[in-house]
Amino acid sequence: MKKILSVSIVMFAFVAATFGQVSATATATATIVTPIAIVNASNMNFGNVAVNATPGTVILTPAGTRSATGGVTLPAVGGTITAATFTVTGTSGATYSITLPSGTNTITDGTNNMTVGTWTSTPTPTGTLTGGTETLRVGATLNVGASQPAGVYVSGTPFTVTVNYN
Amino acid sequence: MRRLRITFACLLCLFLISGMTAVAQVSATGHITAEVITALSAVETSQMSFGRFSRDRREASLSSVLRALSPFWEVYIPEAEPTMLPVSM
Repeated sequence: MKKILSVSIVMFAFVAATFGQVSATATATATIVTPIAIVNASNMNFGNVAVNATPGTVILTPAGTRSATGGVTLPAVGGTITAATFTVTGTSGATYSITLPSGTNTITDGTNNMTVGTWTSTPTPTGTLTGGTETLRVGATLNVGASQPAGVYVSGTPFTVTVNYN
Repeated sequence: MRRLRITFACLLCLFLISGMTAVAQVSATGHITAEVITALSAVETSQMSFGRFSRDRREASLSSVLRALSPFWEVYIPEAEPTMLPVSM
C-alpha cells in the first residue's frame, strides 16, 4: 500500500511539473521609417516698401504676394519678393505637423528696427509627404513704423520652423 | 538573470523611443529681409500761370485749331459763337 502511494505521489509530481511550465511564441516587428527632415530652400523677402507718417503693415502670403495697410505703399518696382520656402522630406505618404514661430522676429538695419509676426504657411496645419517630399511655404506680416527710416533691414536671429511626424 | 534581461529590454525600449522622438521632430531656420525706400514727395515751388488773355474776339489761334479739326469736324462759325458739328458719314 505504501509503495503504491509513493509511486502515485511521484507520478503526480511529474504531471504537475509538466503543466507548471508552458511556452508560447510571439513575433516582434519593427519598422524603421525614413527620418523626417526639413531644409531651408529660400529666405523671406518683403521687397521694397515705402511709408509715410502713418504706420502700416505689409502682408506677405505664402504664395509670395503682398498687400499693404496704413501708411505703407508698395512701389511698382517691388524688388525681390519671396516667401520663405522649406523642403520637407521623409516617409512617402506620411503626414506631419507644422509649428511656426509664436511670437515676433525683429529685423534691423543696424540702427532702426521693425518686427515680423503673424506667421502663415501652406500647407497648414499639417502636410503630407506625397512621394516623400513637400515644399512648405511661409509668409508673415511686416510691421512698419511711422516714417520708418530708409534702409535694408535683415533679421539678426532667424525664425524657426519645426515639423514633426503625426 | 531574468530580472537583468527585463531591465536590459526596458532600457533598450527607452533608447529606441527617445531616438525615434528625436528623429521625428526637426527644425530649420530662415532669414527675413525688407528694404524701406524713401517715399516719393512733391512740393509746389512755383504756381502755374497762363498770363493775360481776352475772350471777346475770335483769335487766330482758335481759328487755326478749328482748321486743324476740319478734316474730322464740319466747322460752322457764326458771327457770335463758334460751333463744331460732327461730319455726317
